Amino acid sequence: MDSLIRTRMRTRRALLTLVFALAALLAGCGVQTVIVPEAERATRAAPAETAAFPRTLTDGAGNEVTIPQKPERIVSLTLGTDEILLSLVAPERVRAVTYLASDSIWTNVSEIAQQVEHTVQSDPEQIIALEPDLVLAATYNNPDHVQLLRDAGIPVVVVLLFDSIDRVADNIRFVAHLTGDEERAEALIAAMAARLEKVEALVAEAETKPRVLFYSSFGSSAGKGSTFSDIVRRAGGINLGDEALESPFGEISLEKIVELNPDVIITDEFAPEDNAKWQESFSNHPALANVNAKRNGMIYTVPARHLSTVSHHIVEGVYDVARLLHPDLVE
Amino acid sequence: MLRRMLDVEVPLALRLALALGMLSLLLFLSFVVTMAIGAVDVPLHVTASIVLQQMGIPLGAAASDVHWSIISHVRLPRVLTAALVGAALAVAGATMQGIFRNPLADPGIIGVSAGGALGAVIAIHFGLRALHYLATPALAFIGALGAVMAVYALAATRGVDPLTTMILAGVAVQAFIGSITSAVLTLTANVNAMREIVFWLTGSLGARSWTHVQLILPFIVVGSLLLLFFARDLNVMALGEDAARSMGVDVRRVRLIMLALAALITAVAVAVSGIIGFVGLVVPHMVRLVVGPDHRIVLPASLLTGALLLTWADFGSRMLLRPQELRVGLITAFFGAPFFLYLLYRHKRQGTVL
Repeated sequence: MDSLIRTRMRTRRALLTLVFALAALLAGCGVQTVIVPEAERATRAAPAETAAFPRTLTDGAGNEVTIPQKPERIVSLTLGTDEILLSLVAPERVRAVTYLASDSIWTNVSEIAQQVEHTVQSDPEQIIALEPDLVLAATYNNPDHVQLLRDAGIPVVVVLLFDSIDRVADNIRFVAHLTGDEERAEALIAAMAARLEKVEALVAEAETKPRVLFYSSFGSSAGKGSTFSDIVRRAGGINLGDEALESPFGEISLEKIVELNPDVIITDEFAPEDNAKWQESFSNHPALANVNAKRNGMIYTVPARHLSTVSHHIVEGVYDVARLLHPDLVE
Repeated sequence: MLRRMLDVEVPLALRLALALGMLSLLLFLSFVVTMAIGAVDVPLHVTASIVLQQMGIPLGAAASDVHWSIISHVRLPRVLTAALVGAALAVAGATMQGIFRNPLADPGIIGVSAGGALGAVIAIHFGLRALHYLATPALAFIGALGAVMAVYALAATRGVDPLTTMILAGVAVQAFIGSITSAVLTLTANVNAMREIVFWLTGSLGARSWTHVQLILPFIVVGSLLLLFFARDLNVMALGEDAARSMGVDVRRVRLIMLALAALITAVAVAVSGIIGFVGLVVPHMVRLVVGPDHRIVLPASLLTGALLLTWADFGSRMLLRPQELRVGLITAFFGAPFFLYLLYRHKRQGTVL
């Protein structure tokens, strides 16, 4: 009896050792694969010369992706890539864009987007069923979904959507490299550069640089490192958020707005009716009575699609703001 | 009918074979049915043949590429993850209830879920998730085991039996970790990250891949099987510590090993699924209502019932508000709790006691 128990204990001990060894081994593997070196992530394939397909590149998440042939069945999972994609390739080559892409509040390509057959959210099944030959995602898409699509053998490219005007050209070139539309990309970039140069030359004549603050109905503002900051600078203004905020986006209190005393307040318009109501209550807030922007009637809205875009349409944002800041210089 | 077949007078082996056989069959059928239905409907026979082919049995109809991809890359790993997680939570729950001799014990009682949540929230808040898709499960796993170790270290003062102290230490550690989790959640400015965190805290099996299955399968299979091996000791320990000792069971040691195993499989489950409540607490009770209190049958039956329950709960989470996905943790509680009450009520009327 006693020896029986002892044998039983011994068998158990052996089994337990096995389990824990296995556990330790697996845990080790799991942890090891988690860390992707910063340097590796930063390197993206520099799409300098036009190579034939198949093209292999390192995407924004550090994954090596091979695109076997010129993509004809593209699926885009982010608003940003929707815009760039539809500016570069014919809608027939796009299988699906995001469900928001046909909404003119959010994008500058809503009309073309309506010609695309399907819209997707991010359900992997739905995407696989479309049989795409290229899927464009962003770093903020669910990485589990991205992995699942890759497991199913679909080339998924994670695009780093930069948020300054200088990097917009990079975004466009990167997507064009994926789709094989480099010529169209260079044309877009050249047109964008020309328009930017023009508006910057116009506002350079201005005597003053109005002090501008962004304020959204969520109570947040835009600081250094945001597209808005870049837009204001190029439109001949000073973005007060650059100093007032510690991050590109953040909450800002009414008191702080009073203290900053902006000459112009810009809000983004994303739901016209709600926005009008909100703006009325905001601009009539007694705390703003002595703020320059309120006293001079300089609280404006600019369409959200012009301010938040990561494509060449960002130029529209610069023109919108330049017209508000320097109506006598910019038509 | 079913109750008579599973009655105590029927030999254990027969009852085991009967209960496990029926549950296994049900589980396989549930796999096929829940996998056939979704955003894209795949015919049942095609689903069944893809599953069989994946198991190495070349039978049945040929599948189109799309159907093959969807079943074998999206739905099969998801269903397997659901089943494994359900099995782990249920068997860990049955073990905890046996060890603590407390019907309210569940796998979270020693801090596993709270620790896992903190790990995951950290991974999401600091953007580690974008670096690698397995960052969240890895940190959740570390957090879960870390919390258990903290609870054990707090409870296990030299020479004192830590059982009661462990429950109290568990409550304290859960509260403490919970406050840190809430703090991180409050400090998250990124709306996307916030959504991710809330999603994780309500449990989800969305987009689980083969990698997830591979990560959890060895732990859960080996851990659960080892736990089954201790079922007899749990029976003996139910008679009281002294009785168990007199029958040759090294109570403290067995208890510690079982706790460690239960914590391990729960941590693994939590790491890939987020927090799914209810399964570990209630499945063992459901099982006991049908098969009686013998742990030799309660543990394996809980394992399969947990798998079954979570497979259907996950199916519900995919289908109820299509194309929106509900969180599976909500489903388990929303449908499981009333069902459990119904079972209790019925048994009370029949004069049986839990």
